[in-house]
Amino acid sequence: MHSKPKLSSLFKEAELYRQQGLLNETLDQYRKIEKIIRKQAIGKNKETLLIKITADIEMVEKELNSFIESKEIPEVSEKVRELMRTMFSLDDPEVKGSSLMGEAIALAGFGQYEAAANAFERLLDFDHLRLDSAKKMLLYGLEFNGEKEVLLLLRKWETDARFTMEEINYLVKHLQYLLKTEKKRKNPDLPDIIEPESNVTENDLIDISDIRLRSPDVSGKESGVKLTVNFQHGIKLNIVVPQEQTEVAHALPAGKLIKGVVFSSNIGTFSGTIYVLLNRKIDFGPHIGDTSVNLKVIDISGR
Amino acid sequence: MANINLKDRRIECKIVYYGPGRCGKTTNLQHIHNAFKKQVIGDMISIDTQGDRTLFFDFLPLGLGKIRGCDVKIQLYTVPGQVKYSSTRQLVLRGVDGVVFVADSLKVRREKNMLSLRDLHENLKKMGLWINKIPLVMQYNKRDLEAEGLPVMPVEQMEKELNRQLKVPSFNASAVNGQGVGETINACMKLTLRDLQRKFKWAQD
Repeated sequence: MHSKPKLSSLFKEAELYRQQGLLNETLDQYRKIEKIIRKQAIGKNKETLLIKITADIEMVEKELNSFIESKEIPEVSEKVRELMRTMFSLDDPEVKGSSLMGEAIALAGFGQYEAAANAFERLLDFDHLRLDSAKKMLLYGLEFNGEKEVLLLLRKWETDARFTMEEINYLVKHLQYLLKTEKKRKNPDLPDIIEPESNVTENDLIDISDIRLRSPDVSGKESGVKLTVNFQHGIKLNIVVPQEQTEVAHALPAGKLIKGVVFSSNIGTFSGTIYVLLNRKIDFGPHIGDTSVNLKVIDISGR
Repeated sequence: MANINLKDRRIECKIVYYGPGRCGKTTNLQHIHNAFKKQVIGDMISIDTQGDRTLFFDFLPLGLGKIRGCDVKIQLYTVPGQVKYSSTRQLVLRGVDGVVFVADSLKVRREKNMLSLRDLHENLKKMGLWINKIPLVMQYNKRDLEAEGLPVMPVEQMEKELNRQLKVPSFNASAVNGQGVGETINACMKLTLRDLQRKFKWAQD
């Protein structure tokens, strides 16, 4: 049987956790105390102590539930939004509309989706920012409103004169990629169905300095487009596509398999197939506005 | 990234307080706000908390005056510690120049410290920064709670579990009483300014 001082010190500990705002730890401690009391032989205090500990547990559970059930990220006042916009907006003064884009990304990052969506919506009017804004609306829309709402958004854009058919097709593919990634994130045990196996082992591949894309829908010209490899990790490459070559970045959506790629290295050139793992616009740092593209080498052959 | 204007001899850099929920990041800033009045150059902004939990961030601007010919300003930020506010933490971390990692000394928070340190590592990596390269200072907070009878981890254990590989300066603290708060921020500011000197050569001889 536990002595009185032991129980009182456990109660004190629980109370201190509560003062620290550590509700889970407080609850654990109260449950430990409850177990000890229940194990005790019948004593005149047992009933009183049980009533007290049950009430304490209920109160902490209530507090915890209200914390869990509270709207995860509350919408804040316009004054606070203004602060978020000014303190965390990352914009490129050279690009018209990018200030609003930076503000919208900052707001979305703080969970202020409605305000961010309004800003992204206004950016759809800018030809050079339309696709990026739409991609962000899909990304954050999926996170905050779910798949159904995002599909409705895409349907709405299909009849929106601001979007070309090509842009809509690109956004459909992008959403497919986002949905697959989201599914994978929610269920990490799911096999990755979007990334094809590579026939190349890490040791087979020497350092690649640049790649040339010959496919007409990528380069748009017979000679192809040359892209410098930013870094290489085994069979995975990263390239940074400058913002002046937006059409190249758009032609490399995540999930695309590209054959006939020419790889250059210091000992010669060879050709092969790559798979686009990720296509993401860089929104901060020295490469702001450029696009970072992660590639996986699927197969190679000599030339 | 620090804002350095060598022509006007001005430096503005950003230090972020990181750590698990309820470890005392906001308390650190509150103490700095109250105790370093000469250096505080603006209001402490602490927005929207939920039962005194930080949901977004806290902000405190400091002015250190002239250091080796440069007017030095430091912006202090805290991140929300709760696991679910990951995107907010990433946003607040952008452009960071130095980090104070506040660890909770309570035994029951051992795992939370480790998870938060790993989260910092991951978030820095996403920005192309490395935890062992960025100016970083460790603070073992809530040391006072041992006297209250709460089980607290020995400093040696915290050093071993959190700082064995990083080997960064560490300080015992009780932010609620102000103990160790000044030492922590001073060390972080020194490391940060030294790092910026190495990168940008801002200091005059």
